[in-house]
Amino acid sequence: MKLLNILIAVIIVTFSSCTKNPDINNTMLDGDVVFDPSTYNPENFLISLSIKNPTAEQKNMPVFIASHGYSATTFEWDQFKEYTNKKKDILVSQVLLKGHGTTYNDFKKSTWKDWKTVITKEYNALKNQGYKNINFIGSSTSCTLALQMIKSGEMNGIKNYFFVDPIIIPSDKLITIVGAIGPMLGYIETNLEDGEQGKWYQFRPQETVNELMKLMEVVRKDLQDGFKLPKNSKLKVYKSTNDPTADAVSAVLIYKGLKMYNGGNVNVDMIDSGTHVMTRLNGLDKVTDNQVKNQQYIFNDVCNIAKALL
Amino acid sequence: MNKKHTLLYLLIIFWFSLNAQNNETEITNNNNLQVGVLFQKTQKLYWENGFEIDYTNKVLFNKRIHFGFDFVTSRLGSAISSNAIKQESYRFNTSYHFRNTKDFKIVPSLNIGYFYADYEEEIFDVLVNTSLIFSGEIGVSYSLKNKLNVPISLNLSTGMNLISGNGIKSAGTLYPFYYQISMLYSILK
Repeated sequence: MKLLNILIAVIIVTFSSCTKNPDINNTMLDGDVVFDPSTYNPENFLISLSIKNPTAEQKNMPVFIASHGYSATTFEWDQFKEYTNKKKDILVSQVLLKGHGTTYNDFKKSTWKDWKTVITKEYNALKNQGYKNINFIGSSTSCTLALQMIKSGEMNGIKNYFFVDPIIIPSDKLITIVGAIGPMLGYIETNLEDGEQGKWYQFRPQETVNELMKLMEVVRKDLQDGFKLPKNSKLKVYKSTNDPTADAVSAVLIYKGLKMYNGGNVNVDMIDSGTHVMTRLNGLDKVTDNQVKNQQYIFNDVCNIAKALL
Repeated sequence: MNKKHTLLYLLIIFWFSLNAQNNETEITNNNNLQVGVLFQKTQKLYWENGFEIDYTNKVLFNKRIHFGFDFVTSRLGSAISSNAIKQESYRFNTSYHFRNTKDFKIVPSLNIGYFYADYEEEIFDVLVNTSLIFSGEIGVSYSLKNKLNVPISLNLSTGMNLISGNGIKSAGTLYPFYYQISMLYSILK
């Protein structure tokens, strides 16, 4: 009888955890009030919409598809856009991954296959508009999505892929059992700094953490088998050596598993940093000189590489 | 190294254990020394295979307490003909065999050891690639001696690395959960 009582208690606790919903308020991105600004004015973020009929000069300019990480928004590439705006000879198209930047429930329903659809949509739109120098710059999970798309041949005309802190192996290894414990947790809450409020989802549904794990698993196995970049594409990885979110060994897996079309190695730059996504410093409570130095180095380097092809 | 070579390697280990049994004079039945092959799958990561040695003696609570050593490497698993990271684990272990006089035993154990991953390229020398191993396991062991009259035991276990790598303080490919299957042959019994 005692055993039966314990069993019933365990079942009640388990199922009550499954249905647990996070306590969302109106200041959070997770709620129904705050949305990513690109959902209201996509023409301010997507080059395919802001320049409907590009000139010959614009078609030859480097255009970057800038794609953010898991649970983030277009905010992650705002500083890169500001940097390139000053230069006037580079275009940046900030995509918002599907399921992101709207509501907790939208996010919960989305899969990693949904997330990537906006990247290919913007790439195809730019290609159809005649842009000749399309580049991809991604952070964290967007790099993982891009690797999957390289493998499946979805973006064969990209000139340069730039990966900032790609994630193949998470730093927190307990994510490897999210499939087992996730249903009991319901969601995972993250601590956001004041400047990050409204820019990231604060609550991460276990379903999406599981999707992230599935994506990393697919790409890790693809890299284990090995694959190549498309002809005329190059890739450079900028990896923080002490990344607290995306284990730095992710760069090792990319270097070993992905080769240039001619069989050569891809370029990997291991950078002395403890920041995840070194290119996004907006919203952090405290920014060091080293963080600024790393960010400006990457901005400058990617622009030089993209322009060098002209 | 291809899969055929791996199989050959594991068979050689097993053959040596058989050969040793033939050549050894039975010293005393107070001791029991087993050697064999060990297959390990890490949750969401690699197959790592190798060998295991297990020793016990009557003075150790009538052979309830065992001491052992095992070695597994992805070079004999997922890293064969692939881009998986080449990595090794060296572990010393202590285990307690419940129901030690029966064919079917329950075996919890504790391991301490050393983990090393080979990132191969100089550009990755800045990354930490080693770790202390401290892990706990729970498993079952089944002896075929009474049923089939062969001095072989089959072992299944699951373990947890209490130190798992985050890539900053310890190697990033040391994952927390793993499963093992091993086949051990008694060369001293």
